[in-house]
Amino acid sequence: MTEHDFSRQENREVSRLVALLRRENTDVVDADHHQREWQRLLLHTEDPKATRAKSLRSWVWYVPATAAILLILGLVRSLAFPTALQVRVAGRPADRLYFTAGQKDPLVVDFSDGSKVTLCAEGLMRVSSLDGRGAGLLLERGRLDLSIARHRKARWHLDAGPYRIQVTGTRFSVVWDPRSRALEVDLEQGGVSVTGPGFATPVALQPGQHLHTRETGRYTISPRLTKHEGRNSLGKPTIMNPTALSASFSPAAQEVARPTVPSLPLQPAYEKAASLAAVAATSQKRKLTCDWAHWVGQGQFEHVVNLATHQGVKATLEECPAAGLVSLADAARYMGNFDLSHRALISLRRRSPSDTGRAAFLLGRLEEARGNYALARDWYAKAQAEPREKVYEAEAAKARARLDKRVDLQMGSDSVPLSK
Amino acid sequence: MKDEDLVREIAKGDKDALRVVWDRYATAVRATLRSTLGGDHTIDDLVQEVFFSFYRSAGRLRDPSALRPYLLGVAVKQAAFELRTRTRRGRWHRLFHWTQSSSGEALKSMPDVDERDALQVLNRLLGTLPERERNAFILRYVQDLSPTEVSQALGLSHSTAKRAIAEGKKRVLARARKEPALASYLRTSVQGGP
Repeated sequence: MTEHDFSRQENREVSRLVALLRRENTDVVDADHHQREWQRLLLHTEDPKATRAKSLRSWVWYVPATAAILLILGLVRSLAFPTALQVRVAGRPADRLYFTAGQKDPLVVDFSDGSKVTLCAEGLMRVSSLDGRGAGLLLERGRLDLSIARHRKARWHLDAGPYRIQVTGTRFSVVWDPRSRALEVDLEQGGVSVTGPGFATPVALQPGQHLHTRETGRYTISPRLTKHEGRNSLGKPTIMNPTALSASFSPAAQEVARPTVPSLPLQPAYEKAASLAAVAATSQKRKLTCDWAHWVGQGQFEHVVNLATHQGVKATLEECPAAGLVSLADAARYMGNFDLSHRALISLRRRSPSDTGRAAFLLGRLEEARGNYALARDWYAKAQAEPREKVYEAEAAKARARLDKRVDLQMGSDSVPLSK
Repeated sequence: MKDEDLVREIAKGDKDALRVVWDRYATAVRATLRSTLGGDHTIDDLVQEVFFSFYRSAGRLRDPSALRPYLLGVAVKQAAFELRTRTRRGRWHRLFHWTQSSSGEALKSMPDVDERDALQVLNRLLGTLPERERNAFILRYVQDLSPTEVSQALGLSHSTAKRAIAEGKKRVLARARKEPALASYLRTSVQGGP
C-alpha cells in the first residue's frame, strides 16, 4: 500500500486531523520563552559536568542492573550446579577421599544427600568425583554396600576394575576382587546398569537379581541371595569374601554355593551346560523356569537361551509348556542358534498336538531364515494342512506362495524331504 | 549559511552556529514533540535533550545537509522514549492507586471544547500506534517531510519508510473513525468543508 492508494475522502479526513495537530502548535512559543530556552541550552553546553552528569545518570542504572544480573546468574548457577555433596566418616567431615576398612570393622561413609556407603572389612575405596547431584566411587577391593538416596537429578556411578555401575536411587552391594578380576552385584532395591568388557550393551538389573562376572566376557544373572543362603559354613556372607568369590566361578563351586538356584553361564555351548544340568536334574528335582515371553519381548534373547541352556536343554524341552518352547525357539532363532530353535519346535510338535500347525509354520520360518526354501515350503504346506489352526493356515499359504518362485530358482539345492 | 556548514562549525564548538540552528529548527522540534505528546510540561526539557544530543554528536553526523530530518528524527525518538516511560510509570501508578499529574496545559488555549476534546483523543490515539508508523505519520504529514527525508530521519530504507507512512495513515484513519469524539469532529469538519 502507498500513499496514493487512499481515496479523496480519506485524504481529506487525514488533512483535518493534521490541521488539528498543527493548530495546537501555533503561537505557543513566544520570543521570550525561546530566548530563555536558548540560554538554558547554552548553559547546558558550557557546563562540562553536564556531559558527565548524563553519563553518571546512566551509570546509576547500570549498577543495580549489573547487580540484578549477577544475582540471577548466581541463582541459576546454584540451581543448576548445586554445591558438591559433603562426605562424613563416623559423623566427622572426611579429610581425605580415600578410605580403607579395618580388618574387622566396616567403615560407614555418609553423604550429605542422605546416601550411605558401607565399606566392608579389608575393603579399599575412593571417591573419585563429587558434585551436587552425586558422586563417583571407585572400589579398589572388597565389598561395598550402598544405599543411594533417591533424588530426581541424582547422578551416581561406581567403578570397579573395568566395570561401571550406573546408579539412581537404590540399595545394592558390590564385591570386586582385583586378583581374579571378578565382580558381583547384588541388587536389593531400585535399578542399576552394569557396563564392562564382554557386555555388548549395558546390563540392567532388576531388584532381587544378582550379577556375577569376570573379565572373560562371561556373566551370570541369578536370583539374589537371601541372607541365609548367602552365608557359608563359617557364618560369613559368601559375597563378602573376595577370595571365595574367585573360587565360586567354577561350576562345581556354584552348585555348592547355591544348590537351589544356580548361576547361569551365558556363553558356553549349551551341550556342555546341558550335561551339567542333566547331572543336577538327576541328583535333585528342580523347578524349571519356562516363562520367557517377557524376556523375548524385551529383546533379551541371549538371556533366554542361556537360562534354558543352564537348566538343561533336554529337561527344558521335555518339561516346559508350549508357550515356553515357542519363546525359546524364537529367542534361539533370533540369536542364530537354529539347531536349538529347531529342537524346541520339533519338541513342541511332538508334545503338544494342539500346536502342531503353529510349530510347522515356525519351522517353515526357521528353514526360510536358514535359506532352505524348499524345506520351508514343505513346512508351510504342513502348517496349511493342519485343520485346527486357521490363523497359521492363512499365513502359511502366503509364505508358501512367496517361496514358490524361490524354490524354482533353487532346484538344485539339497532340500530334505519331510519324511526324513 | 547552509546546514552542512553550520554542522561543521558546531562540531568545532561554535556556539553561534548552534544559535542559528536553534533559531531555525527549535520550533519544528517543539511542534514534533507536541504532536506526539500533546501539550506537556516536559516538552521544553525534551527540546533541550534533542539539541544537546545534536551538539554532542554533531561531528558524527553522516549527512550534515539533512539536518532537519535528523533533528526531527531525534525528536520523534525522544517522544517515543517518553511515551514508553510514561506507560511504564502509568502501570506503577495504577498499581499503587497514585494519581498522575494531568498534562495538556496548552489545550486550555483552544477555545472550542469539542476541538480540545478531539485533540486530546487524537494525541492519545497517536500514542497507541506502533512506534515506527507513528513517527512516520507525524514526520510526513505534520512536519511535511518528504518520504526520502522521513527515511533519513528514521534510519529506514526508502521503501520501508513509504510503507510505514501509508500504514500509519491507514491506522490513524481507522482508529479515528472508531473514536466518537474524532468521528464527530471529522463529520462536522468534512461536511462544513475545509
